[in-house]
Amino acid sequence: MPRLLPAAVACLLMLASARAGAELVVIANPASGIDRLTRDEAINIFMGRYKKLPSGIAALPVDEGVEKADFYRALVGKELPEIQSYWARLVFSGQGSPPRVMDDARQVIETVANNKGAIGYVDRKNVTSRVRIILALPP
Amino acid sequence: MINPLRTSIAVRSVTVLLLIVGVVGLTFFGLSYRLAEQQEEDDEHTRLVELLDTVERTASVACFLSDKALADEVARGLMMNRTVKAVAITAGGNLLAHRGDSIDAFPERDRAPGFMLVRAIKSPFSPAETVGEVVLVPNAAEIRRKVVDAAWLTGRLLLLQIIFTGFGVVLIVVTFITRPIAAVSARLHEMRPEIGQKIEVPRGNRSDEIGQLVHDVNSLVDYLVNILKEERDLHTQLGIEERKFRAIFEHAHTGIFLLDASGQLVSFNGACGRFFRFPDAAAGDVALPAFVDLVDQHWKGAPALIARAVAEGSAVDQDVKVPARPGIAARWLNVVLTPVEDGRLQGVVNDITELKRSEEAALALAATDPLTGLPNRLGFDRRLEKMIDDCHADARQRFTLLMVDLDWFKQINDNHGHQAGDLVLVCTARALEKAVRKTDFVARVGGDEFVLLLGATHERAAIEAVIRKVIAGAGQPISISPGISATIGASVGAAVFEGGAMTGAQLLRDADEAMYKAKAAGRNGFRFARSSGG
Repeated sequence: MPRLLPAAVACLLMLASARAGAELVVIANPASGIDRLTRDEAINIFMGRYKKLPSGIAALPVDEGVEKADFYRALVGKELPEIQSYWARLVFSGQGSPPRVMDDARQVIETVANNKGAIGYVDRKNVTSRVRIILALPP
Repeated sequence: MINPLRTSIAVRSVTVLLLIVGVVGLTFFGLSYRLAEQQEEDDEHTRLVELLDTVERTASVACFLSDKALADEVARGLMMNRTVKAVAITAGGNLLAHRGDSIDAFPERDRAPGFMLVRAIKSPFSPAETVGEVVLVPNAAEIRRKVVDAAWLTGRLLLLQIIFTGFGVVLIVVTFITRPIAAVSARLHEMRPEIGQKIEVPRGNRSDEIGQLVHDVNSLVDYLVNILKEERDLHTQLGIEERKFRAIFEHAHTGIFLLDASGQLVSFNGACGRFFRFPDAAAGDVALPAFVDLVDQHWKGAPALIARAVAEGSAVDQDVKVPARPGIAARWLNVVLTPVEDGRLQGVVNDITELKRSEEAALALAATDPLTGLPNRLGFDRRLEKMIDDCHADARQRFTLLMVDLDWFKQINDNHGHQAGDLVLVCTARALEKAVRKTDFVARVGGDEFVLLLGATHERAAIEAVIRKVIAGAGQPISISPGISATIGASVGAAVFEGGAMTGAQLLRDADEAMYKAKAAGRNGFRFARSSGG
């Protein structure tokens, strides 16, 4: 028994580090024409300021329900209610709409892989070869 | 014209208080107006800044997205405020929204940095990035109006407060101070303390300073009235005394007068005026003339006596004869002058006419032979002395002394008695008087000795003529009793006074000697003294 406690603690620490260490990455279609994206470019695209990717293709940002809060916290340092209030103003003025929300990482990857202008975000460990990482957001 | 500012404390204090209230009120009104103005301007500015704060987040989003609709919404929202004149929102050099007049059209004053608000708008997601700016021009006129309204309200409230306070103070001063004082003053003005009137204490001031003042004034009035009454009583008493003394002075039979240092008559009583026969005009007390001028016609010696009294510093006196006038007898006065203080002289005049008269009578009596009525030895001595004095005064004067001794008189006395002798003497005296001029002098100096003084006679012939008349006169028979007559003779010695160092005694001795020689040579004869030209 005494030998079990350190093991359990180590296990818990590993879990916590795994959760905290989940690194989100911004992904794009390999045919999108962009290899990298700056943080500001990412903000401008996800917050609706830029309608196009730097390569000139119409941008189609998508959200992911599970990682959404972590993503915006990592990208602009704001909580979700603030983000929602931001979009609410724009909806009211009819000038734009927030990114479409996907159910999970698989669906995000599917959408990005199938649309040249689409960009989304997933945990690095879920990234497949069908998409390209253009920006990493360390936690 | 009566100026109530000068005569009424109430009017003056109210005027001054209102002036102060006015000046203070206006000053504070001005100050408060300025402060309120400043405050209101600051408040308006703060309000506009807060207004910008309110819309900043939305403006930030609008600028971030260059969203014209949202920016216009923000601008419209700002324009709802009446103190906002114009709004312009720009993002990256592009005008997103503009409401109101063109910013550039405003005058320089409205676009001054302290007045026009320019807010840099940050990106909502990156505070380091400026995504646009909001320019807000305040409505100067509106702000001005609000500022003025607010300042006026404050100022008017303050002015109202000061005015009410001022009127309150005036009311208090008038009610508690000036009115009671005015009332006391009016009562004091109408008060007649001599009939025991007092000032009444105003109601409500019984125990305060005004009450105390009234009480003190009443005490003072009491005190003064008492002093005045005492003074008046004393004065009356003095008046009575003075009248008494005045009456004594006026009705005294002794003349009294007072001279000042310059010899001016200061006062005199009736007796004095009568004695010196002052004219009636001098009876008044005004402009009395110099004493010496008044008495000059009766008393030439007045200046000398005054000078003597002043020089000796003590009482001096003199008998003064005031000569007779038609209807007024001559009078003798005794004047005593006594120096008193301040160089004054006090004079006392007494009528000594009676005294003088009796003195003269006594003198005359002493110098008269009671039997014959002729001057006696004393009278003769005086006369001789006077005649010698006259001769000394005038060297040309001469006179002659005749010594007459009766012959056979002793026998008549012895044979017929003293009464017969006395009769002989009286008759002889009359005979001798008859024998000489009226101006000559006859005296009986001894039992049967007579002396004659012949004035201005010194020539022997003239003297002899007189002597013969004398001897003849003495030789007349005298009837001494019915049927009996007696005859006597006379031996005469003559001596002439020639002046020089000769004395009366010497002259008398010479005449005596000459008479004895005549007697020795036989009766009814005469001889001249050897010194008399022989």
